Amino acid sequence: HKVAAYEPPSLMEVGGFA
Amino acid sequence: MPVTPGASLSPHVTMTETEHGTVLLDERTGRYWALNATGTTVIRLLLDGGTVDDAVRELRERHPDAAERVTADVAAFVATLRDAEVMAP
Repeated sequence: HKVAAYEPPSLMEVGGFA
Repeated sequence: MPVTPGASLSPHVTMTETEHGTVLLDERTGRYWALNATGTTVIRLLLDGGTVDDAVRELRERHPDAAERVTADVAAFVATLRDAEVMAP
């Protein structure tokens, strides 16, 4: 089984309620 | 480490899965964030009672080729969660 390449854990702000 | 076993989301933060991945919403401010797959793995582990070290161990097992950088990456991620006030203090 191919394991997905490693990506550092990230939290990306993508917007706000407005 | 800033996240202790038994960590929980801040009371005003909701986490949910969408077709685009995991999203966190701060219902107080209206800010929202997207987690990548690795971030989702880490935060779920922490919310399930795991420690930061558990998260590091898990990622190292999944990605042995990245073992050297995982500790720093998880620490930076946890700092981001803390700065965003996503996790309960």
